[in-house]
Amino acid sequence: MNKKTAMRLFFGAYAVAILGLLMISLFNFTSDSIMFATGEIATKEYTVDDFSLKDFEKFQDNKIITTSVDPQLIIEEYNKKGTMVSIDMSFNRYPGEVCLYYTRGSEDFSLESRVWAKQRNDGRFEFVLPRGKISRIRIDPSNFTGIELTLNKFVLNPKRSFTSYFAYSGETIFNICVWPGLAAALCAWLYTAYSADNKKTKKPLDKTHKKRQNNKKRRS
Amino acid sequence: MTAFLCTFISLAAVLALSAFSVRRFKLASGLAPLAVLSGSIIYFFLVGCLGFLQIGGYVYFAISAAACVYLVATYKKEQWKSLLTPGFILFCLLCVTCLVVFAIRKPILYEWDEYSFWGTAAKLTKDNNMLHAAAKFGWPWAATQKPGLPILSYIFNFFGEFAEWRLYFAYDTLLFAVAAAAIGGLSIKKWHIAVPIALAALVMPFFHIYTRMIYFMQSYLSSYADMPMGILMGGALCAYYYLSRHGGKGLWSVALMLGAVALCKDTGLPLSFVAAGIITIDILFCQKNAQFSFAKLRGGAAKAAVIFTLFATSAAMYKIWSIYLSNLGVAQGSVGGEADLSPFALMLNGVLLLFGINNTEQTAMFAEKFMLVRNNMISSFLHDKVTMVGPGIVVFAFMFAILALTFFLSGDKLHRRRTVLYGVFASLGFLAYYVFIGFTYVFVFKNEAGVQLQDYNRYVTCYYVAMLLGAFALLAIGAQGGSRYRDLLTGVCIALGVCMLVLFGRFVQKQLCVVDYPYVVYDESRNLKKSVQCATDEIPKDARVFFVSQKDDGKLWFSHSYEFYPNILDYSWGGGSMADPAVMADGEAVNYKISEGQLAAYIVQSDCEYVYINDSDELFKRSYGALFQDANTLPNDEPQLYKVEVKDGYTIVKQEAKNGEIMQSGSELTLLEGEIKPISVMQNPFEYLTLVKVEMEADYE
Repeated sequence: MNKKTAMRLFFGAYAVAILGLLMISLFNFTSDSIMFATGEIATKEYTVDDFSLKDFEKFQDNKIITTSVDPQLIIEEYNKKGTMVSIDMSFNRYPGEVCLYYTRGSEDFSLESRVWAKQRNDGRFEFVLPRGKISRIRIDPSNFTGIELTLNKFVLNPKRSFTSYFAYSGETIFNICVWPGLAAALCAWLYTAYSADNKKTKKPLDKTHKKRQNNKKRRS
Repeated sequence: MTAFLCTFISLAAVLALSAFSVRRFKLASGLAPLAVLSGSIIYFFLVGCLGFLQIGGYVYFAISAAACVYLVATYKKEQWKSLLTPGFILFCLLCVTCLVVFAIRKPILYEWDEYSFWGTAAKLTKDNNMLHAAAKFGWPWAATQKPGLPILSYIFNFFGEFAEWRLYFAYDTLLFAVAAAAIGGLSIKKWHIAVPIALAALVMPFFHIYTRMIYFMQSYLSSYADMPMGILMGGALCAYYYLSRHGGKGLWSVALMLGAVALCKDTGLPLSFVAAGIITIDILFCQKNAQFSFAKLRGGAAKAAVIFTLFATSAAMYKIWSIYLSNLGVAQGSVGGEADLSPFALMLNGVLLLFGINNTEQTAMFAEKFMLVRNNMISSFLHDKVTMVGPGIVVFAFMFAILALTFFLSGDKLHRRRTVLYGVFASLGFLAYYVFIGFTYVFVFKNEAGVQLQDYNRYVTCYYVAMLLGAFALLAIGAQGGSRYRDLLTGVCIALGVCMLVLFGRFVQKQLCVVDYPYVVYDESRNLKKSVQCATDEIPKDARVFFVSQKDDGKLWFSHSYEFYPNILDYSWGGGSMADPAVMADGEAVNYKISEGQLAAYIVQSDCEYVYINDSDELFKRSYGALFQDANTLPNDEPQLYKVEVKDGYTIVKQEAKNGEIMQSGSELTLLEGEIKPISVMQNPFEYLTLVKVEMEADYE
C-alpha cells in the first residue's frame, strides 16, 4: 500500500466516524424536536408529592430529610422516551453522590443502568437520559442520613439547546478515537491482502522475500 | 494554568531528550521516551542519594534546554523524519491529551496506600527537595520503600507547587512510554500493525480487573507501584526485542529500564533479574556473534558485556539504596515482617521448605504455614480469576496462543526460535517469581494475611502484564517481518487489538474509569482537603497537631497526615476510637481505653499545640469533655480545631498500666499484651490543660 492510500484510509476512517457522529447528533436533535412537536415527549414538572419516596421524611412542602444512606425518589410507570432531567435542589450540607438510575422494562434498578449528573454553574443538576423507551426513573440524591433536601424544581424533558446535542461524553470521545483507527487498520490489512491476490502472488511470502533478496544480491 | 505550564516544561524536557537520543545515539524514536524516562529516574536517584536532588534537577533541565538548542542548530529535515514513527507520535499525542485533561479535571489522591505511602512520599520528595527517606515525618513509616516512582513524580512536579494530578500525569507518561515501546520498532508504513498493538498495550493497566466493575477504577489515576513496575518490565522486554534486531546497538537503554524497574518497589529487583534472565537467554541463543556489538566490543565479549550490564545496573540500584539508607541510619538488612529475616535467609529457608527440609529451628516454625500458602498459591493459579482473561493458567494459555500463532505464521526462522525461548523462559521466570512471592507470604506477612494471600492479584498481575507485553512485541515484530501465509500475522495483531478492547468494554464502564469518571468520585477527598485547609490556615506551619477521629480504621489518619503536611500530625493512636474506661457502659467498645489524665499527659509530652477533631461522639464527650473549655461543641458533624492551653504547675506521674491499656514509649505507642509497664498520667488534668475552640472559616460545598 502506498503512502497516499494509507493516509486516505487512516484519516478517511476518522472523517467518516466524526461525520457519522455529527449526523447522529443532528438526527437526535431533529427527532427530539419532532417528538416534542407531536407530543410524544412532553416537558413535565414534578413536585415532591409526585414521587414514590423511599427513606425520606417530609417536613415541609418541598423539603424532605433523608432517613438512611440510600434515599430514593422514584418515578414509577413512566414508560416513555426521555431526553433529560434537570433538578434544582439544595442541601443543608454535602450530600455525597447524586445519580440517576433507569430501567427499560420490568427489571429492577441496576448499577449498570445509571447516569451521573453534570452540575451547572447555577447549581442545577442535569442528567442526559439514554435514547429509547424508559420504564422507571430513580434519583438517588444523597448517600448520607439526615440530609435536608429542598426540591426547588424538577423538570423531566426540559427543552435542550441545539449545542447540547454536540457536547459529547468522554466515552463517546474515547470510542471515536479508538475504533476508527482499528477499522482503518483492518481495511488496510484487507486492502493489502486483496491487492496481493490481484497480483496473483500466490506463493508464500517468505519465498518471494528470499527471491527478492537473492535478486538484490546478484545485482549488487 | 501555572501548574499546566510547569508540567509542560517537564514534558518538553523529556521530549527534547528523547529527540536528542534519537539523533545522537540512533535510538528508535518509539523507544526513546521510555529510555529517557528510565534514565531520568536513575539520574535523579543518584543525585538524590548524593544530596543534590534540586541542583541535579536544574542541571537536568539545563541539559534538556541544551539538547533543544542542539536539535534546532543541527536541523536536518531527513533526521526529523526519523521521529515520525507510530510510537513517538502516539506518545506525544497521549501525553498532551492527558496533560490537558488532568489540568482541567485535577484528579486527587483516593486510595489508602496512596495516603500511607506513595502520594505522601511524592509530596515529601517535592516539598523537601530530597529523597523521601531523608525527610522528617510524624510517624514511623515505610521509609525503606524504593524511591523510583516518587522521583518520577518529582520530575513532573519540579517547577511550581506539588499537585496530585501532576503525580498521576508522571505515572501515565511512563505507561504511555511503554505503549510506545510496544510498537517502538515499527515504522510509519506499518501503522496498521502499530494501531492494534498500541491499543492492546494501553488497555494493559486494566488487565487486573476480573469482573464487571460497578465502582470507580483507578487505573491511570493511581500512584500504586505494582502495575507501573510490571508494565515497565514489559516495556524493557519490548525494547530489547526491537533493539536486538540491530545487533546490540542501543541495548544500554534496556539496562536503564531494568534499573528503573529495580527502583520501583521491593519486588522490582527480582522482576528485573527475571527480565535480564530472559534477555540473556535470547542473547546467547538468538544473536549471531559476528553481528553483535556493544560499546566498541564485538562478538562474545559484547554479549558478556551486555549481560553483565543488565544484571549489574539493577543490582547497583539496590545496593546504592541500601548504602544510602544505612547512611541515614535506616537499616535495609532485613525484609521485616514476622520472621524479620535477611533476604538471603528468606530465600534459604524458603528453598529448604520447598524441598521438604524442615528440621532447622526457623523452617520447623514455618512448615505448617508454608504448606497452607503453597496449597493456596497452586489453587489460586489454577482457579482464582485475577485478570480480564481469567486465572493465571488462562493468562498463560493466552500468551502461548499469541506465541504459537507468531511461531507458526512468522516467516523468519530466527524469530520462531526466539518465540519458543521466550515462551519457555518467561514461564520459568514466572515460576521463580511466584515462588519468591510465596516465600514472602510465608516469612513476611502475618499469619492470617499470609495464608489468605493478601493482595495476591496485585503482586501477580504485574508479572502477567509484563509477560504479555513481551509477547505483543514478538507478535508485532513477526507481523512486520512478514508471514508465511500472506499477512495473516497482521490479522492476528488486529484481532488482538479488538479482543483487548472488547474485554476492556466488558469489564470497565467508561463512566467509572479515567475515560469519563464523574466529578463526584473525588468529593470526599476534596472536602477533606478543604476542611484541613481551613484548619491549617489557623495554625502556624510548625505546629504539631493531635488527631481525633472516633471509629476511624486508620485511613482518615493517613489522609489527614498527608493533607496536614508540612504540619506534623501526631501519631495519636492512628485515629482509632478512644474512651475513658471509667465512663464506659457495658457493651461499649473502643480501640483504646485511655483515661483523661493519660490523654492530657500524652498531649503535653508529645508537644501537640492543637487538637483536630474530625469525628467525635457522645462517648468521647463523656470521657474527655472536662478537658474542653466548652464541651457543648462536642460531638459535632463538622471537623473542629482546638488550641491546647497548658498552665504551669502540672505533675505527671508514672502509673502501672493494666492489661489492654496504652503505654507510651518514646514517640511510639504500644498496646500492652499481658505485661505491665509504667504509663504517664497527669494529675488533675482539667485544672492544667484546656482545649479552647479555634473558629475555622466554613468552606463546604
